[in-house]
Amino acid sequence: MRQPHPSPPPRRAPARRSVLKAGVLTAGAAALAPALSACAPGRGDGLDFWQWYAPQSGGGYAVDLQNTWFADLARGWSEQGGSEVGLTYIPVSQYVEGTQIQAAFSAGQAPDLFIISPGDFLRYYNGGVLYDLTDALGSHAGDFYGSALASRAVDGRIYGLPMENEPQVMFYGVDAFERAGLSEADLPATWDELLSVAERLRAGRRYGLVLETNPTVYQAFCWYPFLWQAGGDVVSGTRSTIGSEASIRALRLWHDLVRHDLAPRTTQGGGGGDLVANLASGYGAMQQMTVPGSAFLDQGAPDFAYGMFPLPAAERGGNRLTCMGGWAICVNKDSPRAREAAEFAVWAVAGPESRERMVQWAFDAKKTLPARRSVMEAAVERGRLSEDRVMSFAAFDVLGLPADDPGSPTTPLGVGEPRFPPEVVRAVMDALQAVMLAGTDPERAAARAQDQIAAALTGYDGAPMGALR
Amino acid sequence: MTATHPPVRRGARARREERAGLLFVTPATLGIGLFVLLPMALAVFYGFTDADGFGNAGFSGLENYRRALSDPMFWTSVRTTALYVAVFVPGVYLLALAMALLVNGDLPGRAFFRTAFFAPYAVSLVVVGLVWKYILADSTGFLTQALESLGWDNPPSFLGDPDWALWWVAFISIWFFVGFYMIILLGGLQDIPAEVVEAARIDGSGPWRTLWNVVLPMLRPTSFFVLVLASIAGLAGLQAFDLIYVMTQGGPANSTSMGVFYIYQQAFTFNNVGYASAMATLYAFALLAMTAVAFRITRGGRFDHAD
Repeated sequence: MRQPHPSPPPRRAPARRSVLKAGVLTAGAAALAPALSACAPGRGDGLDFWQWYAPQSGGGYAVDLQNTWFADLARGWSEQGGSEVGLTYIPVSQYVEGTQIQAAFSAGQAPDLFIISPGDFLRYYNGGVLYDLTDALGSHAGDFYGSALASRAVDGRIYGLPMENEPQVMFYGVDAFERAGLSEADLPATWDELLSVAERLRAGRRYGLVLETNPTVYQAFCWYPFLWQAGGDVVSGTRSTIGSEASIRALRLWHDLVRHDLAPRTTQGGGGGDLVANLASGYGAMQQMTVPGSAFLDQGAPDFAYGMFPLPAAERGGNRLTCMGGWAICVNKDSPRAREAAEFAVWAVAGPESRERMVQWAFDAKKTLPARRSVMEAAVERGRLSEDRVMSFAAFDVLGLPADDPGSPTTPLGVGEPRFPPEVVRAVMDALQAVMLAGTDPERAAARAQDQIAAALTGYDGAPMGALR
Repeated sequence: MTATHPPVRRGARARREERAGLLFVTPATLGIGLFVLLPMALAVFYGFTDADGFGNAGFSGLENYRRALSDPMFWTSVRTTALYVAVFVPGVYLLALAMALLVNGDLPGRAFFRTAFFAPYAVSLVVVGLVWKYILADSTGFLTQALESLGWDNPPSFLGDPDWALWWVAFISIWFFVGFYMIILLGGLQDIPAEVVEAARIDGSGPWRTLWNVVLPMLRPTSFFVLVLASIAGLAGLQAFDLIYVMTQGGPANSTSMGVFYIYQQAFTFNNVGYASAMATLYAFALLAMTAVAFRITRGGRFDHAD
C-alpha cells in the first residue's frame, strides 16, 4: 500500500528573528567588506613616500621650510607628468627606533619610497628590500661626494641617493661661556681642553657638555668620530677591532665626562639631538649635534645666542675628524611602482634639473652641506656659501674642503657615517652605556664589545661594513 | 502534583539555550583566537625560523632557542624582569589592599578617595611616563629640586643611574596600577557578609585580629586573582613596556631592559624576528608553567575546600 503523499507544510511569513538575523549578517558583511579590502595589497595610483619631514606642523623639529620643500617636491613631480606623490609623515623618533616601517615591510604594505640613514643601511640591504638605483642614476653618480655615496653602495651598485652631508660639530651657548669668563679663544681644540672647559662651564644646574645618553643608534653615531680621532675603528673587514687601545681611549673620554659630573646621565626633551631642550634651556653649555641643529635652534629658540666649533682632536696637532650623517632616498624593491619611484628619486635629488632644488634644501631648508659637488659649485657661484656663516664654517672648518675648490671630490676631515649590522651597533651601544652610566672600566667594556662583535660577525655574509671612504 | 514539561519541548529549549550561549561567546572567542591565539601560534612557528621582518624566513630548527640560552642579555633581561615582579607584585597588592580597606570603611569623602585612587589608571601610560620623566629629570626635575631644597646636595640621577632606574619604573607601575587592583579587592571586601565581621567584633575581636582571622581568609579568592593577574602582567612586562619605552629605552646600561623590551628590540630594532619569537615563546611557556603551578596549589583558585 502506498503511503499517501504528505501535503507540503504551509508557507509561513518570515519570522521577526529571521529578518533580524539576515539584517545583522548583511550589515556585518557590508562593514567587513571595506575593512578587508583595505588589507589587500595596492595603494592606489600614486607613489607613497614615507619620511619624517612633511606634512607636519609644530614641535621642535618642525621646520617650515623643510615641510614646504617636500610638499613642493611632490607637487613638482605631478606637474611635470609624474603620478601623484603621497607624503606620509612619521615622527623622527618613531621613524628611527619605532616599528612602523618594519611592520609595513613584514605585512607587504611598505611604501614605494622611504628615507634611511647610513647606520640603518645594512639592515635594509641585507633584508633584500632595496631597489638598485644604479641604472636610473646613470652618469649622475659621479656628481656625488665619494664619502656620501660609499655608504649607500655595494659592489659598485647604488641603493640610496643621499640628500645631504650632515657633519657633527659642537654647539655652545655664548651666554654660558661669558658667565664662565670664557671667550672664543677658549674653544676646546683637544680632548683635554674639552674636559677642562666643560669643568669651567659646570655651574649649578648647568652641565658642561651634553652627550647622547639614550641607548640608540644616534649615540653610537656621536661616538664614532672620537674613535677615529684616536686612531681606532669598530671593525676591519669583518674582524672586530673595538678592543684596541684607541677604542679604550675614546670610551674613557665619555666615561670621564660623566664620572666627573661634567656631562649629564640623562638628556631633556627629545634626547641628545634636541638642542632647544638641552642647550638653549641652559641644561648644558655645550652639545654635540650635526650642523642642521642650527636650523632647529633658529626656529625653536630664536633669541638664543650660540656658536659652533669643530669636534676637538684627540691631541694637539691631531686630525679633527668628524662623522657625516645624512639621509638618503631609497626605493622599495618589491614595490609594483619601483621603476617610477626610482625615476622620481633621481629627479628629486640627483638629476641636473634638481640642482637648484638641492641648493634650497641645503642652504635654506635643512642648513646642511650638499651631498653633490655640482650643488656646492652652484652655491659658490651665487655667493651662497660665502655669505652663509654656518655653511662656510661647516664646509671649510669642519670638513676641511679646499677654500678655492669646495666642489673637490673628497671631504678631508669628514668621514661618512659607518654602516653596521644591528648586532654590531648593539655592542657599541652596550659599551657606551656601560662606561657612561654603569661606571664600567673602559678596558673591560671594550673587551666585552670585542667579543660581542666577533661573535656576531662569525659567518657574516652580508654587504661590507664600516666607514667606507 | 508536579508539573512537568514534555521531554521534546525541554530538549528544544536546551538546544536553543545552547545556541544562544554559543552566540554570546562567539565574539570573544573570535577576538581571542584572532588576536591572541593566532599570534601566539605564529610566534611559536617563527621561533623555528630566521625570519628577518622583511618577509624572508628559513627553517632554523632549535638555533634560536640555543642562542637565547647562551645570550647574556637574555638572562640579564630575565633577571631584570624577576626583580621587577618581586617588587611590583607585593607592592601593588599590599598598597591596593590598604587602600581598599580604607575606602571600604566609613571614611569621610569615601567617593572622592575611590575616584582619586583610581584616577592615575585612567591616564595613558605614555603620558604618565612623560610626566614622571619630567618629575625625575636630572638637575631640573621637580623631585631633584625638592630634594636639593631639603639639603640633599647632589641627588642621584634617578633615571640615569642603573642602581635607581628599575626601582623607579616599578614604583611608577605600582602608582599607576594600584587603583585598578584596589577596585578588584574592594569588590572582594564587599562580598564578605557584614554579619560575619560583626559577629567577630561581638566576640571581642579587635580590628587587626578581625582583619587577620576573618577578612583576609575570606578575601583569599580575590587576593589570589589579583596576585596571579599582577604576576602574569608583571612577568609579561606589559605593565612596564610603555614606561620603559618612554622613560629609559631599556637603559641606563640595560638596567631596565626587561624581557618584553629586549624581545621588542630584537624584533623591531635588530630585525631578528625569529629570535624574538623564540624568546617570546620561552617567556610564554614560563608564564603558563607558573600559572599552572599556582592553580595546582590552590586547586584552581577555589578556596572553599582548601582547609
